[in-house]
Amino acid sequence: MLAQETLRLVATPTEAAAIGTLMVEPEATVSDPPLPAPEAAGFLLALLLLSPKEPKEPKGK
Amino acid sequence: MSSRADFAAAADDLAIRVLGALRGAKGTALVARHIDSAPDALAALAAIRVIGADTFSPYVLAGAAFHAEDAAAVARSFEAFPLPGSGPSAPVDERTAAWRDWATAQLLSRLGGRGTWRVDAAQPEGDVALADTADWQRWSVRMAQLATLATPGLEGPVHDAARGAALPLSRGVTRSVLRRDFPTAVRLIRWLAWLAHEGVPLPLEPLLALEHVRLLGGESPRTALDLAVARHLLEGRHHQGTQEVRT
Repeated sequence: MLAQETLRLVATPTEAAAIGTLMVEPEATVSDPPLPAPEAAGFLLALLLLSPKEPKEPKGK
Repeated sequence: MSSRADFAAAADDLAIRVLGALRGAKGTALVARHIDSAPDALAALAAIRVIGADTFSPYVLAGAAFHAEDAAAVARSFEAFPLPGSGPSAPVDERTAAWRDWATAQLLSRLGGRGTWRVDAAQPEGDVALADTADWQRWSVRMAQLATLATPGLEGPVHDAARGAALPLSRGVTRSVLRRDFPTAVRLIRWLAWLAHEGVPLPLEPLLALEHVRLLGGESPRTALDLAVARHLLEGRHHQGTQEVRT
């Protein structure tokens, strides 16, 4: 049996509007794809210049 | 005063309970227990309206016993929150909510049997936009909002529209997946599952689509409930016949 049977609840207009937005959910907004950041170009160039050289095959083997 | 966040949390809580019952958990009246155990009774009643016809899915799909307290709880949710506008001049969102309430009321009156819990939620009239699939993007979003109607035993203009629109629904699924809007994708897959259950040929394999979105975005309780209902429909697990209320 409903324990709260004697209690009659009525929503306010604000609460009624809130339930409406939950019943009819809009589709999700699209998040933008990752974009290239021009300010990162210098950082990437520095990483390229500072990176160690490729290992070479030892001679005489 | 309850907030939208309270309502959303209560809806998630009810979805978890319904999901448990759908997966075979036995117990007492789940809807009444949901209200009795809730700290905020109004939010608990709001949750019933939000979950809508899916509240009945353990009884419709899994043959669980329907209790009189559950029927009373559903009826009380209609007393607490006013019915949205359902006429042709009402805003689209209100008519969509009215369709959902109509589905809940239909199942309540069917499962309530000889009980006295009936709700006067009339079928919306003059909703011509349902049959217009030219703008399939917008139309499929609305059908996703109406996904609780993709339940065996319900029949009406929304279902007629879905029967003639396997391609727009499939396009909607693909679009939602590409947009990474998985809740909408799951709701549209549920319509495809309902069509498959009805024997309508489909241009998209719903079980593969379901597995795809389950792996990527089925974490919220409401989405998990939509997934479970769709899987029931695809696997043909549908409780036959109408069961009367247990008092």
